[in-house]
Amino acid sequence: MKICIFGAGAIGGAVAAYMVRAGLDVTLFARGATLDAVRDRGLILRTADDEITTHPNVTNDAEEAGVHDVIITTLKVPAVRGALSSIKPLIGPETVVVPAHNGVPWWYFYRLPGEWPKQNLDSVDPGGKVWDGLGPERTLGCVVYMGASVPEPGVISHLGRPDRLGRFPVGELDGSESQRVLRVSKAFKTAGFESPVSTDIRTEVWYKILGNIGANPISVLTMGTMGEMYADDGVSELVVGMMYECYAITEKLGITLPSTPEERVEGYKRPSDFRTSMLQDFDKGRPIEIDAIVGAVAEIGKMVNVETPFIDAVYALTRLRAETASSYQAP
Amino acid sequence: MKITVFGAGAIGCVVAGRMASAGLDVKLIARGKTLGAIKKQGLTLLTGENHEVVKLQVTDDTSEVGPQDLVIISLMANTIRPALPAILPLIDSNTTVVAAQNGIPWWYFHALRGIWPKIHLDSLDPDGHIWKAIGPEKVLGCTVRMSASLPEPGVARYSEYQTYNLGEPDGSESGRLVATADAFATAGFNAPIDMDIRKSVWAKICSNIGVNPISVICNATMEQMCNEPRVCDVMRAILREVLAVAQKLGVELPADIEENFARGARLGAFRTSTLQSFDRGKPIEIDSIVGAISEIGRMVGVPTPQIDCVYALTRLRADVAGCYLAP
Repeated sequence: MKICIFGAGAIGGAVAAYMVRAGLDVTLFARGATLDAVRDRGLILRTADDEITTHPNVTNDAEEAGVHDVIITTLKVPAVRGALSSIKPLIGPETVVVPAHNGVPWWYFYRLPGEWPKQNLDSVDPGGKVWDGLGPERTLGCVVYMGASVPEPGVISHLGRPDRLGRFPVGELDGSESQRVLRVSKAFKTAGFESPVSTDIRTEVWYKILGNIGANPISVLTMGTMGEMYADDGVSELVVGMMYECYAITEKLGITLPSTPEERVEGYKRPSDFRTSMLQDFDKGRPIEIDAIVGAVAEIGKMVNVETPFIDAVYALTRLRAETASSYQAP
Repeated sequence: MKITVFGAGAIGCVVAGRMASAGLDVKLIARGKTLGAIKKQGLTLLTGENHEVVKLQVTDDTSEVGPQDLVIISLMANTIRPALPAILPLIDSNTTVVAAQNGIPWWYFHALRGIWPKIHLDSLDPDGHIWKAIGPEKVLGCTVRMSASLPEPGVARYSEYQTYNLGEPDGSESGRLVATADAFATAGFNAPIDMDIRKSVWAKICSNIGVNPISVICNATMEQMCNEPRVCDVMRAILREVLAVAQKLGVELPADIEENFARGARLGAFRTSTLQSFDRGKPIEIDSIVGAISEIGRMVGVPTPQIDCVYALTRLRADVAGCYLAP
């Protein structure tokens, strides 16, 4: 099975390195300094107590790379649209696309029972370019639980416990247990990740959004670490308020989430100097994923007539913050 | 009349400089680089194309200065308390104190009709330290309408529009009020006697409570904030909450919210005073302008969710940057 990891950031790099280490046939699609670094000296993975060098196929030429069985897109959400022409040559009739992104995915409303005023959100995929380009019918849902960073091009730092490398729930958009979803799950598991097959991947998506919708934008607004944010009562209350707005939306979407907002926030209250992925992007002057994680939820709120004043306020402020720092890229 | 201006920020420098220039007997209490610069080369005042260098009595030793007829406190609200030991030698029983702070002043509940669960707000003057040390009966309320900045030590730039509303907390037209307003007018400021100074306080809060904290969390200028419809929505929601809280205290504010944005946008690339403090790594005035409104809201039973949101974000932002000083 030929797997292409499209996007060599922290998550893409780490997934590629662990898959190659496990003997899977992996092509890493990279550009610029990362491409050069991986070509010259391999992809280096630093863990808490080890450093391994792996040698994925690495390319920036999709024509030459040709059709793959599985494409895992690990780009930042705002970058997917611009990369479509590079992804297309990798897609054949049997190819499975696995978007491994944060926030509301572009495929969310594909074959979702119910009447929806639109299937392409302006915050994620205006005009449906990504939908048309990648095709929801060949797409599996995937949620990413993994913290990694890129200290320098071609080097991935992943300090997680060796027995818990990361978690990638995957699922068919219609909830079925297909052969292809089992194959993709097996590839993640072979690499050492947890990868349960979900019959309700949208619930998994929302569970992850709940964890991101407060902490990520607020980390950009305050420059606070996870520990600093959740130690602050006012900020914790704000996050709870945003989560309740999400719960009101998910209720309308027929999704039932485990645990209350208060319980979720309580679970985050511990010392941690972790900087969210959004803050890491912001620190590096890169576009932040504000529309997929926050704007899209507000947009769905409007669709289903749920008011989202806290989410709207945090979205407005974070977007202006990103704009004044030139870290905003419209979807 | 012996006048001392305590605090050599942008506002303090302009007030002291203009008063000295008009021939009033005024001293400025300053510290550090500002003290050194003014001692050495005087105070430079810039407005429009005008450029004036004023010789000014400046010192950091208030015990040498002694009791004054008029003390104008031009410190940020949250820096008054640590400055009390230095302020008190300037004050005796005959001194009039002008409190020129942004936000809800620490004396707010002095001589205010009604029954209040507390008169010392935790956001301003926990346990009433300032209240007890200075004494609210010496105070004239003051709201400042002027934009000013300190481009370098000993140099102050200010807008041509400068208004200092002055008023007795009980609304009377006292002799000390008239004399104080005269001093400001002599210095060339527009200094109306204000029979309802608390209303002016709230009006000023309306101009500060949105843009000041948001400028810090977004690192944004007036035009960047006021030209962004989503951010204006947040500020509109905040102002509605302010109006509701003020109403419970018997203050009716004109709901000309939209005018605020238009006026703000016209200020262009101006950075709010709060953002200027933040840029310099100084403590920001978040509790008197924002936190106090939440606190009063809780006192009078008015929910203030959007104010609480912006307060929490700004406070943590300041905390992380080392620019938060608890009241």
